[in-house]
Amino acid sequence: MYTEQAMDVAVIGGGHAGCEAALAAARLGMKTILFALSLDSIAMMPCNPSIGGTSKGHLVREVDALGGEMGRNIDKTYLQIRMLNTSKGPAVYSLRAQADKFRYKEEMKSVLEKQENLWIRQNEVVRIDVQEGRVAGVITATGAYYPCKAAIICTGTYLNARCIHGDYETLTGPNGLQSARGGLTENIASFGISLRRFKTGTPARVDGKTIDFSQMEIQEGDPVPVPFSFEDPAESLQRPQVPCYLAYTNEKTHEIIRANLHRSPLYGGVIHGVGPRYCPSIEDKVVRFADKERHQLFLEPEGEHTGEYYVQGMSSSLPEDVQRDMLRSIRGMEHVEIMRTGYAIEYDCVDPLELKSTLELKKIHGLFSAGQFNGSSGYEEAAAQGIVAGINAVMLLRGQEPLKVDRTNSYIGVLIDDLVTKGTNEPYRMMTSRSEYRLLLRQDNADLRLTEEGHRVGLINEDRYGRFLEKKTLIQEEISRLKTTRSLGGRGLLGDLLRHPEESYASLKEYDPTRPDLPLEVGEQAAIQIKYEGYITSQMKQVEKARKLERKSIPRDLDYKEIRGLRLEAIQKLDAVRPETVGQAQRISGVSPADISVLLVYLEQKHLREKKEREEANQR
Amino acid sequence: MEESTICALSTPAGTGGIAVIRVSGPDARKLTDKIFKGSSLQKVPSHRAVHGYILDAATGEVIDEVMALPMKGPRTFTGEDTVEISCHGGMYICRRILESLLKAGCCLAEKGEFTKRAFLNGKMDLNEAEAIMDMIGARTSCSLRAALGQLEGALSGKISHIRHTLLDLLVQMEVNIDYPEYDVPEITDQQVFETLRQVKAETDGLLKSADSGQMLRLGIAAALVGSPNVGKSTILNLMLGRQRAIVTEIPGTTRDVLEEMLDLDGIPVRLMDTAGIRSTEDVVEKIGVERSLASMEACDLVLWVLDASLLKSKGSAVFPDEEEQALWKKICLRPHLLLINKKDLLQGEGKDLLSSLAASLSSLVSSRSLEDGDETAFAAPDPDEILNSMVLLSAKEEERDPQHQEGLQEISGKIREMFFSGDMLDPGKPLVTNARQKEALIRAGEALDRALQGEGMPQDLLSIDIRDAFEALGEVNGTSAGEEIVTEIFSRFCLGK
Repeated sequence: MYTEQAMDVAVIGGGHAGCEAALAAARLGMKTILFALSLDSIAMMPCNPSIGGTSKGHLVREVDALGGEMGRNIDKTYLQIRMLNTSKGPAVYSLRAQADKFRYKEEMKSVLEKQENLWIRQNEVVRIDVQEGRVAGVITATGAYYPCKAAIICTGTYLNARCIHGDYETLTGPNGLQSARGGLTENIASFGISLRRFKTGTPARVDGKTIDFSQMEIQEGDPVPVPFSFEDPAESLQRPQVPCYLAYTNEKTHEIIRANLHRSPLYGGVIHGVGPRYCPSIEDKVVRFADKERHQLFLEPEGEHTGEYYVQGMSSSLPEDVQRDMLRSIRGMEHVEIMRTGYAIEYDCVDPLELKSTLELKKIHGLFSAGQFNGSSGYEEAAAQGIVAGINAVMLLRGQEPLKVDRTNSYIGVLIDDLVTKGTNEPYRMMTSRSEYRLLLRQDNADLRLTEEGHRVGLINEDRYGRFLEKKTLIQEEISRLKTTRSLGGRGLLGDLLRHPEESYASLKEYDPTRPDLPLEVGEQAAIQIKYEGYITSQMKQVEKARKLERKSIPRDLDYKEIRGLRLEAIQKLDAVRPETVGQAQRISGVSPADISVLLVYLEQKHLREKKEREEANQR
Repeated sequence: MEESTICALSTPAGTGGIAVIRVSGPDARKLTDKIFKGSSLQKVPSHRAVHGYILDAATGEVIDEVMALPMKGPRTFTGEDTVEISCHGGMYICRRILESLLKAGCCLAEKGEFTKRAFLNGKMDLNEAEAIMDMIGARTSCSLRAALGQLEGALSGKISHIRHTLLDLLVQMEVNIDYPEYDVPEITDQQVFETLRQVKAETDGLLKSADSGQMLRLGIAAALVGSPNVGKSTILNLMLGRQRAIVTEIPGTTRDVLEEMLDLDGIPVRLMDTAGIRSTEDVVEKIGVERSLASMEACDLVLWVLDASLLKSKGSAVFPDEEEQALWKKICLRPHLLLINKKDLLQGEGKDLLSSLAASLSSLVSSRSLEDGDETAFAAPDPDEILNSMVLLSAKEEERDPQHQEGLQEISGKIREMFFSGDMLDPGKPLVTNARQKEALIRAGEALDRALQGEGMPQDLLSIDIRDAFEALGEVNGTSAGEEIVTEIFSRFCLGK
């Protein structure tokens, strides 16, 4: 073993979590090193070639508002962009892009390379050196020791990974890449940290020139694509858009699957990892929803310069020949050729109850983790945790307050709170239904919610912050103008008119001759805030109420067994999760409102007693 | 730091000519004003009593003539703004005033909540904290048992049905929102509003029937159960003989159980006399047990009658027979008293015999621990608890000699202790049990009204109020409601990559 140069922060893994974590740390002035098993896999998308979608689009915009890279990167490399859910309310509008996955990772790697303070190294980290409960350095498979003050584990699906297609299995990571088997799992477990084994899967990639797309329904992008990043003007999106195609399975497909179920590792008991409910394999769908005559499939291009297509909806771990036969049973794919076989993958990850809400592991000072290692799923969920872990590692080293993200200000907050408070039994996927303040956490106002915080920690520069403040002022001015200006034709105040369900900002233009020339998003934002004011105000009230309990902190070393009146179950649950605030405590399943009352009284008593003791000490 | 305004009876109910209902919280005076006819409580000086009338929030009808004492915090018991309403002490009046307050927007106080607030607002000494924690803690184990009972109640069944309908609706709306591109049929606004109107009609109907029907009928519903020939009829006659006034006599609607309303030393009791048992017990004993079980479903208190002479005859280890064992396993889940009848026939060391019986009864049931989300957790009573619930009597003797009715007095004493001692806010007590369910219905109804007013609004906005209604009907917090929806989405729809 030999010693390399000392770093501030070491990031283990170069996926979507690792990239955001490394960029955040380096941009905040920390000497940062990012390790990846292969530099060719940096920012790789081993599953679907898309970014965003319902609730995930929200996450990307929140990452952007905090100063992250994912939004900007997809704006540079998209193949198609659509705003989903436009027939529904503004809270659930969701932006989604098809990505050129090759350009996406190339572009991201280039951003990393250009970043000051950031070193990139192809190597496997096999051990974290912990001295007196603190991170002291990391050790690579080649024997290099890098002293560092904080480390961020972003190993995704690589840790002790195993890929299975039917009866054939390999000890590889995603996409046939090397897996991380050098001992990091055992090293982490040796600190008393509890680990799990999760499972996920991906469908086959097929050769586009062997598909008859004329037999399928075409799906184009929006005529005027909306950028993800608040930094990118709409005019900057000039890439030609590439369509997707819609196809269906049929009775024959299902017959092939049923006839080969005995060859499925899922049903044959070969796979033991816990798979996600929201991402069932096609064999799962056919078994569980036997009465469904067809299942929908999307054929999504993987890139501009490749003929590979991703078959969304056909995730499978059946043997190769079965996958081929079932794909060929689909209309328009009678002669399809597989290029990459679909597979299921198992990997090691941490029980997220081991984490603080800063994403630092409770047991080791300076050790953070993010992404699929934390039990989540999806590129966007990973990026969101990556930037949080990156920022918080820096805040810890600087002795500053951690990033303020919580359920009331962001989907990122919901994601992290759910993970660290409730844990998870399957890879956790973000959904809008998981947020209780959905109307406040819109994708259109992610900048209004988080730019301030991004600026505080130092990832949003003065220039961008200035523009943000300007936009905020314009929105406020437009809201007051609309509320006080009468419409042409005597229909009353514009603000009142806007509240009618059938009216919109655009439809009112002809009654609004004095409307100033404003950026599109400013007018829309003002309109949303007026139109849904009643609902927004009532959710704000709930938020205010919730925040009071969120602000009541609980000492980390509290002995719950000592508290009279707490039920045994509540004691066990509270002791396991060790919530940071009373607000978090009340979300733990098995903790009742009465337990919370007892806890509140106890904390107040403790506070009073300590105050009294201090006073007595002072008198002496 | 508390946001809600709470109310509760703060004097023991069932006794005394005057009762005091306390309203505490930021909107205490504003909300009470809504149902108070007299000078505005928000305008009159603090700490000065005002004469007036309490009205029914829904109908405007006068419920009672009262004195109201508005007090501005922090110079109050809880430290918050408070109104104390002194009304006429009957349970019926108190209950209607409380319900009117609930309709006006107050929440029903939890056990120990006034004291908790007083402490958190610095109105109490440090040393009192532990007593408060004990009090709140005691409520939890008690309410677990109560929850069990509530699950079986008629009103609960209907509430849970409504809750399911709402969950169904939410799941359909949410799956359309989170999975817009999947071939799941889109629920139309028309379908949403149709369901909402239907659910609203159901909650309205329930509230109405709860106001006028059997559910509001006062008193503790007590069921007299036991094997044949243990003396149930005699005990019934004894209790009836002692009654001051039979308020009403209603033949049961769903089964042939006769209800007798009686006033037992000031406690209103609705005695469910299992008439069916008496007529069939000689024929098929099994049926007797089944009838007993059925009548227990709807009661607040089980009076289990055992024959003292039979205890003796089974030797030193006192075990009830098989049928009684089965009965006991049901009885122990609900509030109960063990009436050991024919005490004159109890031979030998009566005390040892009873201890032995208590021990064997205790050993028959085991505690169930509370697994994740399992609502049916249960703490088995220990022998001492069982002993304490026993009353020794000789119904025949007491019926004959009205001057010596110690057994009957002990029964009414124990009932008073169980249902009316100290704090009236125990969720296990019938006054509150029902009121909580009504509160849930009132809140759900309000949320449904808001949703119904949102016609033309996008579905994700409507879902906010529908979710509020859904949450009002179950004791779950916001985030766990979300989880319930997510779980339901995945179990019902075929989604994913």
